[in-house]
Amino acid sequence: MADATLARYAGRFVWLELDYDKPVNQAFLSRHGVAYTPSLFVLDPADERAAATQLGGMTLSELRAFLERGERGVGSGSRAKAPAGAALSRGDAMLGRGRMSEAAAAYREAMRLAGSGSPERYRAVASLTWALQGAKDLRACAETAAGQASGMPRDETFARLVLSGLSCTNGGGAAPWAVRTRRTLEPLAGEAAALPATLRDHRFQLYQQLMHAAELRGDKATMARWGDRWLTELDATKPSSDDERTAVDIARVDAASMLGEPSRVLPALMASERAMPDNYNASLRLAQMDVEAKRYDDAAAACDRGLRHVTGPVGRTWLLRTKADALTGKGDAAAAREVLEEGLRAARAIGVKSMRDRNIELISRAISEIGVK
Amino acid sequence: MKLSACVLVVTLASTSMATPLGLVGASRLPFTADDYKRARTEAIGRRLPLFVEVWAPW
Repeated sequence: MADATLARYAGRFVWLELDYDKPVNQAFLSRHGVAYTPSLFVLDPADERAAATQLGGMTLSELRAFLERGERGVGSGSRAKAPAGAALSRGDAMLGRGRMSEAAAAYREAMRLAGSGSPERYRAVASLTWALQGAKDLRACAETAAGQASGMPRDETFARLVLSGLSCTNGGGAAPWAVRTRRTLEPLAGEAAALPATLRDHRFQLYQQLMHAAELRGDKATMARWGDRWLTELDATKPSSDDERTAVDIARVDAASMLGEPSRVLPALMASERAMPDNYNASLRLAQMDVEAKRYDDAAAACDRGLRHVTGPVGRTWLLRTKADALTGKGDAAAAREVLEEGLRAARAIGVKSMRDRNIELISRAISEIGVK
Repeated sequence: MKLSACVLVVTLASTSMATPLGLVGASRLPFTADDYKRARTEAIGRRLPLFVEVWAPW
């Protein structure tokens, strides 16, 4: 996302990046209910109100529009806005606080007030589905997307809406509403994945959801086709930075894991770990695929390398969980349990409550399962 | 970095590439890292909006 044209915004904002896994940032994350990354905000510093909120990545044009909107939103304060714009701002403010149901209500109102076919209406629809997804109202999310997407221009907002909709649909599994909405959204997701306007990150997520949708339908051939397409695109990507390299590796692991072909990506992951020896993520990704490939000693060793460099409790928990999987695979239950106990201690340090509770629950269950074997 | 489909991480969507947007460097945007209090104080003093990007290193 580096682009020189953004330089004109330099003096118009104060710029802050927050690492989700750093303990020093946990108070902010809790206050704003951040459960997704990337999450982007433009805040009024006086009262921390979010004048603009975006969950997920953005194209450059979307980012510029986001900055402009956020700047206007902070500057306007209580000044009257057009009704649809005001409702969108309220939605963003609620989204920025993690208050998903209230955000959804505001976006619904924005949809009602915005002109048919207007950019505001399309943005409200896309934001509504993300808020519904965040509120765990998967059916409403899926049905909104299925009902609205077909009539939209084929741009990045369309892609974002379809991605959210198909994610919600797949979350519904074999429920009748999910089967129905999948019939509409799956072809639209294929369309979105092929659009030049679609953000690469979203395209990769679309591939993942398309694989999941095919899997739910029992269509292994289509699932494999999407997976091959995804891995082919990943292999053709030449990362320009360590950050991008890590992002590509994460997608590799997702694709290979869903395909059940971990060995396919091991050479690339090994190369990444050699290129980034202090990056615990590189070791973690390699360890995950080593576990799936039943290379348990290699997996445990990779986890140990990662643990030497990990900086936060979520990463530490993840590495320890993966190491425990490797030890379990080797048949060393006692060692696996010991590592899980350490993982439990790490999980208790996670700042965001929902994530902390979920990790504790999963690890505690894993420990008790070892205990009964 | 990015959230993958890992049950250890509660997310809205299954995967997101959450590297920092890379706005520093070529764009010459002056980012502060991991110091909300300082950034907010600066924004109040300069009467500017505060742009915040929350990203994950995985």
